[in-house]
Amino acid sequence: MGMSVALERDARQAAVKISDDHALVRDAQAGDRLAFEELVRRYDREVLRLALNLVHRSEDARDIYQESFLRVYRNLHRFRLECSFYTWLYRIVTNVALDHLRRRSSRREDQAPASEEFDGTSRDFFDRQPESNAASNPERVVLGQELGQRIQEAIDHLSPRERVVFELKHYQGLKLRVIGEMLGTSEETVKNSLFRATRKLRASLDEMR
Amino acid sequence: MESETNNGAPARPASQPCREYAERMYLFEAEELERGDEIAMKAHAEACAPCAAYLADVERMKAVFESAPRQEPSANLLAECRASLTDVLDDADAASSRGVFGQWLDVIAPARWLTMHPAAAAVLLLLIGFSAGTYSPLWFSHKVAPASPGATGSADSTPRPISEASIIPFSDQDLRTADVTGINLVSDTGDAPPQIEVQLNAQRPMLVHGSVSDDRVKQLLLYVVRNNQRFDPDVRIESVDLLKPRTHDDDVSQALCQLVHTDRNPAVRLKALEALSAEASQESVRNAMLGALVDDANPGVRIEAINSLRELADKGQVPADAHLLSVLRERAQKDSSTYIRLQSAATLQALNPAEKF
Repeated sequence: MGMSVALERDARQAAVKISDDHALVRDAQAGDRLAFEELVRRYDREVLRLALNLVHRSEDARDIYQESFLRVYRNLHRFRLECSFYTWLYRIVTNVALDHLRRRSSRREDQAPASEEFDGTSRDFFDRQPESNAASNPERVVLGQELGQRIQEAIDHLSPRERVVFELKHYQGLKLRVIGEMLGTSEETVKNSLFRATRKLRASLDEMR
Repeated sequence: MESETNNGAPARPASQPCREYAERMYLFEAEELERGDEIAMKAHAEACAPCAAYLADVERMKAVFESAPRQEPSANLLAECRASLTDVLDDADAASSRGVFGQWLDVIAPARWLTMHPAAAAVLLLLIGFSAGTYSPLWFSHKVAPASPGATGSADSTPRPISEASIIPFSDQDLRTADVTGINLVSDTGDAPPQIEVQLNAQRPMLVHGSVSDDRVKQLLLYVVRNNQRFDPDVRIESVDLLKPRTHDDDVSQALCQLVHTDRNPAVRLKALEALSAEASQESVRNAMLGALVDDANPGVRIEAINSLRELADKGQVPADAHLLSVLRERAQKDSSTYIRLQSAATLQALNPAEKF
């Protein structure tokens, strides 16, 4: 009972938010720059976080942020309010990020660098997972950072599409169907990309044991 | 399949799940498996070692991904992004206001490219300058000559304003950078609005012909009134005077009301009040007059305001509301000018004959 009330409240809040967004979108479409800036401020932290976790470099994340919002600004008149602004925005951001990753992976100097820290020791990778109270233990904090570094290196070996799909699925919690809509592809293709990504990551992380 | 490591760490799969459960395992991994299917799959895994190992590995990998630290954008980075986005949006707005030619120019010769190729930029500028110098006189002689004051008449004999503004459109951007160097009265034909000539010194000098009934000319004059601090008092006075026939337009009366409050030159304020006197029955105009009567430091402006109000009161065109009566009472007692005190009292009397002094 309590859960259904909470879900109902969440759904109501989401509906109100979408309605608010759409009002701002209409104002922005009518040329109200302040309304557009309000929309930016509602979502730009999440956009930057997504970009940063996809490309891992502040300069690149800044480029993606800027290009995404500029595309939104230029194409806002085409947005027909048929989906939430958030979905439309994420569609643009993921495509900008994908283009960025593709460009980067085609440039030699941007290939993922070999790990400086990876020394090939035989310590078991899973033994080095941080525990939930890692924050209270400096050694665990360092291990957590090392784990992050290793996962990042493993992710750097994924193809751009696999990387975006993995990020959107595992860290943004989006449904495969929604990811497919964002990337302009089928749910089946997204599912295949995700499984390829997971298999590669598993293999990379196992190699690091 | 490796079931357990030497140090007791959990097993990692060396095999794939059973074919009939593979799809459900993949969906479970993607957190998109229906609850009922998940229960059935886990029940199967209890009895199937490869599936159990695969499932354990899936859950372990999920735990690994979840425990990996995530990058969080710093406040500085976010602020930098916002600031640079504002600049980019400003540029986008400016580009769209530059029009198609400007955008086309950006495409064929972007500023960044010109910066990187100074010699080519110099050649390009020379070519543009040469072309402009060679062809613009020819073009102007074609376009401007028919628009001389002598060409006022038209085939249907209806007098039409002569306007270069309609031939050479000016944009808001032009106006923002323009300086009005002069407004000349070309001809005054009695009943019809006078023909005028406005000289604009902008990035491209312009001479705008027409009468105030021409919307482009009106737009230009309104721009002067609304941005009064940018123009000389004589240009402002001329603009107000020329807008007088159009004070029945809301935008004109509002701009003049604003001018009554904001212009630093009393002669301009006086001229604006004078122009507005024809529309004094409008509440906004009346309020502007009352404002001037109370607040204006210049007695000449206050006299113009009280005269207009007195005229309205005598004609019975102004409602005797409490605010108006209270202002008039206050002015009748406190204004430093004897004339204004007397006129305020007379206006009060006209509005409210029962008023005692």
